[in-house]
Amino acid sequence: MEQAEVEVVLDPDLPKNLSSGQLSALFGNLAKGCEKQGRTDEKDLFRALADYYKGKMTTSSGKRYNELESLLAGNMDEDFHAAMTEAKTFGDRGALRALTWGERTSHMISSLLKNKAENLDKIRQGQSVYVCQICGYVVVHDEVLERCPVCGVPNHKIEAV
Amino acid sequence: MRTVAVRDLKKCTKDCLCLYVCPTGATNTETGNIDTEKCIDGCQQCVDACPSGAISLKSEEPKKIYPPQHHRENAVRQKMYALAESKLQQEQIALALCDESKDNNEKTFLKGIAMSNRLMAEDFMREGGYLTPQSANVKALLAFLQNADFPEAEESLKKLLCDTTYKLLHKL
Repeated sequence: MEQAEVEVVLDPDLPKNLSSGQLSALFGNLAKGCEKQGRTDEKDLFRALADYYKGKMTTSSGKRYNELESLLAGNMDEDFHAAMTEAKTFGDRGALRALTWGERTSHMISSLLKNKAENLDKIRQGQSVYVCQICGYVVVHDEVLERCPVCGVPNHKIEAV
Repeated sequence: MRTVAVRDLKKCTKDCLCLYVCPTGATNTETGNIDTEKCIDGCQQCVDACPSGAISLKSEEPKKIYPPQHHRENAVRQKMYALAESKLQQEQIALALCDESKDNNEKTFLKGIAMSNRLMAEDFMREGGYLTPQSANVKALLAFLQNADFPEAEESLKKLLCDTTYKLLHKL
C-alpha cells in the first residue's frame, strides 16, 4: 500500500530559467514551511539548497543608493500594478495577497530611503530597525510594534536587526 | 505509516510533563525536538499531557504526494518571478552598500532593507507556484535541477532527496 502508484502531475509551466537568487528564495521559503510542519529533516534539505544557490548569486560592489531607488520606483510605478492586473484577471487570491503586502512594504522602504538622514539619526539615538519576518515590513522605531501594520502578525514574528 | 509526536518549540512553556509521561524518553533531548526513532507509533501521551498545546501528532510519510495545487496561471507566475528578481537585486545593492559603509548605524539600516527585500522575494516565489514543500511543482523542479545545477549532497541529504522525489523520478 505504501508503494501504491500515484498519478504525478508534472508542472507543465516549469520555469527552467530561474536565477540563483530566485532559487535561493524559493528553497529558503520551503525550509520555513517544513519547519512549521515539524519536518526537520526536510527543512535541512531545503536550507542546504537555499544556501547553495545563495552562494552562486553574483555580487557586485560600487553600488549607489539611486540604483536601489530607481528599481523600487519601477516596482511601484509599474511592476506591482501589472502583476495585480494579471492576478485579478485570473482570480488568483494568493498572488494578490502577496502583492498587496509587497506593495505596502515597498512604500515603507521608499519612505525610509527618502528620510534616510532622519532615520540614521534615530538609530544613532538608540532606536532599532525592526523587520516583520512574515511580510518584510521594515521600520525604525523605539520599541517593537504590537502587531505588524501590513500583515497583522503578532510581534513575536517581528525581529530587530 | 507511523504517527509520531513533534514539538513546537515556540509554544513550549517548559512544564516538562512530556518528560514524565513519555514511556521511552523520546521527549528528553538536547535540542528539544522529540526523538522520532524512540517515539512510539500513535502513543500520544505527551500530546495529551502538554499544558501549552505545544506537541502534536504527525504522520511520518515522506513520500506522500499532496493533492495538486490550485492551478496557477503561467502569466501570473512570470510576473511574480520578475518581481522576486527585482527585490533580490535590491537586496544585493543594499548588501553591497552595507559592505562599503563605515557607519554602523547605516549598516543596520541597510541590513534591515536587505532582509525586507529577501522576505518579499521569498513570498513572491511561494505565490509563483511553490507554496507546499510536498507539492508536485516542487518535486518537478527538484527533478529538473538534479539534471541541471545541483549541489553535491551529503549522504543524508541524498537519501532524503530520493525519498522526496522518489515517485516522480520513478515515473520519469
